[in-house]
Amino acid sequence: MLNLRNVSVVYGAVQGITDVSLTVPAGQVTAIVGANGAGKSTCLKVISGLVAPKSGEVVFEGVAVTRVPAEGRRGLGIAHVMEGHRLFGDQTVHNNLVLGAYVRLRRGDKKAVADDVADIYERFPMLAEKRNALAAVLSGGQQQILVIAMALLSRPKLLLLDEPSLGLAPKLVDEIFRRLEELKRAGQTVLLVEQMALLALEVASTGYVFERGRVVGHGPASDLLRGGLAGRLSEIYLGRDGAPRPEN
Amino acid sequence: MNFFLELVTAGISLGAVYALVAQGYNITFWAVRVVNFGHGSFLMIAVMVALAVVNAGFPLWAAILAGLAVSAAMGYVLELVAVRPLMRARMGMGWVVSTLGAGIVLQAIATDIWGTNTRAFPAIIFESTDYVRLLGVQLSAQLLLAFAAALLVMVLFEVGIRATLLGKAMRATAADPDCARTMGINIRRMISLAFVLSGLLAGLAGILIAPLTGIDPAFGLELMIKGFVAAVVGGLGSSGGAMVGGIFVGLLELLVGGYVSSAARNGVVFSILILVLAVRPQGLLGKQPEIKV
Amino acid sequence: MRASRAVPWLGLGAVVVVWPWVANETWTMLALLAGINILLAQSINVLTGYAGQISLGQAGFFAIGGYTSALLMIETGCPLWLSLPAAVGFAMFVGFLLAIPAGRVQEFYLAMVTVAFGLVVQVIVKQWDLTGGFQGLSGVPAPVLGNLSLFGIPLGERGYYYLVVLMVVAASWFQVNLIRSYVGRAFVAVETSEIAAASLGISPGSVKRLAYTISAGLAGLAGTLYAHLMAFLGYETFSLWQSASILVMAVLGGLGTFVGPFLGAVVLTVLPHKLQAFQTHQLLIYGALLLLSYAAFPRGMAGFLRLQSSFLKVRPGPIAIAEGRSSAVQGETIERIEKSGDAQVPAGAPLLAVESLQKSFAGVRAVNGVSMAVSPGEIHGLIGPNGSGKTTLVNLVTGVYRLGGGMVTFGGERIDGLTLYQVARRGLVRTFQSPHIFRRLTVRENVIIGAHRHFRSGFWPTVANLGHAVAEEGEMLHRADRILVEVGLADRAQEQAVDLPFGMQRMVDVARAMMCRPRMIILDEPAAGLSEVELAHLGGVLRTLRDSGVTILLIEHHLDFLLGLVDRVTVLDYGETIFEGTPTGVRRDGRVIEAYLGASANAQS
Repeated sequence: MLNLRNVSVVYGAVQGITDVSLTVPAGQVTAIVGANGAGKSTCLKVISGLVAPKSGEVVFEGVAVTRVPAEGRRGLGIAHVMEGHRLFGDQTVHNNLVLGAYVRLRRGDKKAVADDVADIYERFPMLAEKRNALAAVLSGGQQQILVIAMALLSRPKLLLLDEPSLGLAPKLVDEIFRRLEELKRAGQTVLLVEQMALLALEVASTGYVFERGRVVGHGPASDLLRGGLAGRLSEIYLGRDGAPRPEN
Repeated sequence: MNFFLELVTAGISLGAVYALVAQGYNITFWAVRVVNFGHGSFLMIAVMVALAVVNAGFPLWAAILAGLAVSAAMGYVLELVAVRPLMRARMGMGWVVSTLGAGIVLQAIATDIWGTNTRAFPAIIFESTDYVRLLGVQLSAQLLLAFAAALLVMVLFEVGIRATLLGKAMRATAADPDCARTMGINIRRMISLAFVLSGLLAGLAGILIAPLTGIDPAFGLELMIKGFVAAVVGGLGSSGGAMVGGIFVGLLELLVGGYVSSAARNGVVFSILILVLAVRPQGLLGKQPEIKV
Repeated sequence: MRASRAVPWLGLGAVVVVWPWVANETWTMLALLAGINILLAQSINVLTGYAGQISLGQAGFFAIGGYTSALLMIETGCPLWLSLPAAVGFAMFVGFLLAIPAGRVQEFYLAMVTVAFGLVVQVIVKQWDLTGGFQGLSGVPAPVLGNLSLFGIPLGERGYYYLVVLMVVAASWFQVNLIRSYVGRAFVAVETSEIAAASLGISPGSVKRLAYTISAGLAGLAGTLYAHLMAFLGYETFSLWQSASILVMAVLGGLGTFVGPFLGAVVLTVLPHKLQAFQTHQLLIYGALLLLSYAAFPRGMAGFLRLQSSFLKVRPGPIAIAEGRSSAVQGETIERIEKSGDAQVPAGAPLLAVESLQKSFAGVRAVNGVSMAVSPGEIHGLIGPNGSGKTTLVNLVTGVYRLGGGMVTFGGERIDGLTLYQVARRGLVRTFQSPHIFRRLTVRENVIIGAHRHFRSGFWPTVANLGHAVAEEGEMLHRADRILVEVGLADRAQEQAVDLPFGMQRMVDVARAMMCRPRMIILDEPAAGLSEVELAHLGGVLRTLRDSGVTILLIEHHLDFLLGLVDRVTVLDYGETIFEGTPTGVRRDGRVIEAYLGASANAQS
């Protein structure tokens, strides 16, 4: 569904990502893992249009969309859930959901959107309870669910998820990943960026490993997990010193 | 006592108009953290255009619409020429100078076309001598109209911003532009719209005040400052603050003018600005910033 | 100054000196007005061009200067040599008062305040009998009335001309000395980045207040000279339009340069006089200039001259790299710690102690009961996954955020509640995730700003270039050069710091922090964006720093780099400490690994 071809991004004097190519097949979850500052978020921003690449192409459903501005990509079916569950804290939960469906509402799909919103409230009763509360007062976990729901309301073809586990307690992380499994089973195409590599690779079909702005490894997620990538990841995250790997 | 009540009601009415001006600042401040330093000219231009249209023989309501259309259009142009290029280049305070420049250019054009003489603006519905008697107090009908109109516009604005999709999108643009873009919101258009609305409010405020005071190309200046004082007193960025601040300024101005001297009015109002910023910069209803250095 | 470069200046000087003898009355008058306008343009230049603040009310200070001197002479018979400084002093005082909110509100609020101020002054002048009310104030002692004298010598038109020239030269001299000093550099630092300036001990509020005060003084001086030239002061002169004209002169000439105000003032004094069309459309032209200048020609006329400004009092020479690197710095730094006067702690006690820190943002706990101790002389690492609270912790410690609970002690003294610049002045300096390079300054100038808090010369000796002020600048420069050698930037010292590649900009950051002679440096992700070679170099510099007695707290994601460098590590996760110990220990700790990789759903624990 999505292809990045030799994409490089530069921030001022700093190299963001260099010569990155990856493929996101339809109907599957693809994971991007790697340490902080490795360029994972930058990748998603290039796909959603928030950052323009210095070179390379973004191809979505066979069409090059590199020149399409960010505001146009939602309409194409690319929904980006940003890092840190960014949402509109000064507006109600309901308003946030409505904004999630902005593009569809502007097209006039009012009835369909209303149905979808009702559906979201059923699936996530917690959101229904808080529908008139300001989004800012929700807890981190609730906000994370809200932003994912907002993205789903646009009926995206491709869902970009940036570090959904960030700042969340382990129990909440579990819940988020359970929801992710549900989405996977429903056939939603997802590109997931995660620092929690093990969790990400368990839900994904394919994985890409980033280090300092480059892809240093990729393949089926199970291979990456089994084939000692856990150890390799440990090295990437915690440095090499020949110390024995943790018991699993 | 009657005198006092008259001053109070007049002050509140005037204050509502100041609130409109303050709201004009609020809209652009909250969209892109920019305040139009040429706002005074926007207040003036709608009035001058309306006057010209009336003098050309058209009915008053058409003239008013024409004036509003012009000030709204000027808002659009302002954003395009004085704000957008500077936002891109990340020039910290350049927009203060460029919006001031825009205001001066507008004033120069108005002076060229209409000269510097003071003129009278035709009465809107009520004559300047029309009074309403309420509880034994004589209230100027024109001022009451101004009050009612300003209040109505503020309410409509609040409703619009909260209930419509567009309003939600504008608030989203103000809160988190990148996030808004990922929702598919065209933030450039939203920002343009903010400036158009700001121009519209400015024009409306000018037109509401015009029958009460004489007008010349410089008349917007005082109104601009007082509107800013109102915005700051209430808390820049807060709609409720605009109303509260506006009424405060209106009351203060007329009470000082009535009991102290007419000459001291402006001096006192302008001094309030300095005081508020020294003591409580976020105003009555504004938020205190988190980061300090 | 070499002879060939001095010639045009001498030529110009000669023209200025003979002018009143060769030019007719009109042109002499124009020259006088130009001189006054130069001072006005300079008043904006100092404030806006260097310190980045805005004033739209210079007409108010212009008025204060003029009326104060005029009234002192008229009402009390005060002589000019008293009334002039008194007027300037009073204008400065008012400028200072106006700028009291300067540290606390954004610039554009102050811009509006200056507008209001200008209008208030005009209202007062218009209404007050003392200032002449509507009719204006006439009979101000002036050459044209024949009743102005200085130290007993009657001043004719020519005499007054030379007085004005003298004032302009003196004011310009002061400004040059000001800009080329630690004071001026602080202006530029605050303009670029208040937070970076504060992290080196510069108080942004004080800098802004000083800038407004000086600006007011210059405008006041101009006003005084104007009053005694015209013999008359009318309220119409001191309008917002006047303030805008002053702004135009400064912007057109070129903000932030020495010659800018001269160019702008001369051009805009002469043009309206010579071109009738200009005068009729002056309002429109000035408005258009203001509207377009920042976008189209931000550097004004001076920009076309491509001048290089220096911000150093002393001309720097080439750096002698022959000195042995580490020994030079080491010897220096050991001396510096002992003599710096910063807090010392008894043996065994931590230098920085953080206890049970709490911080929430909008109900979300960012830091939840974190305690940490950093011993003197160690390199201490602070790590944790994204969102674990590391930067929040640093911001709490350095006073950028208000504490929600807990306390912070540095050198035995409680520092929670202090602001960033106050913390820096006590010897705790920090850097930021991206290097905050001060634009417009060379590498050397950037680095020397780090020593701001150590300059002992007062304001007046500095602007008068007294011997000891110049000597101190030379000393600091020497120190800066030695640090540049140590960090490997000696051969790029004269370049504009923003032109350097990223890795070197990072080193400028570190060098600047070193220049501050801190007891402790907190480095926030210094390795980000550095190449392998640059990383090795940085590691070497940090080790040398540690060896010379500076304590270091290092936040990093690049764990290879960090774990090879630090003595102890603290690990945060979800705003809490989950590990404190040695680098080897941290690699094996289960909790840490889980924090980074996430517990596998299939794992047995």
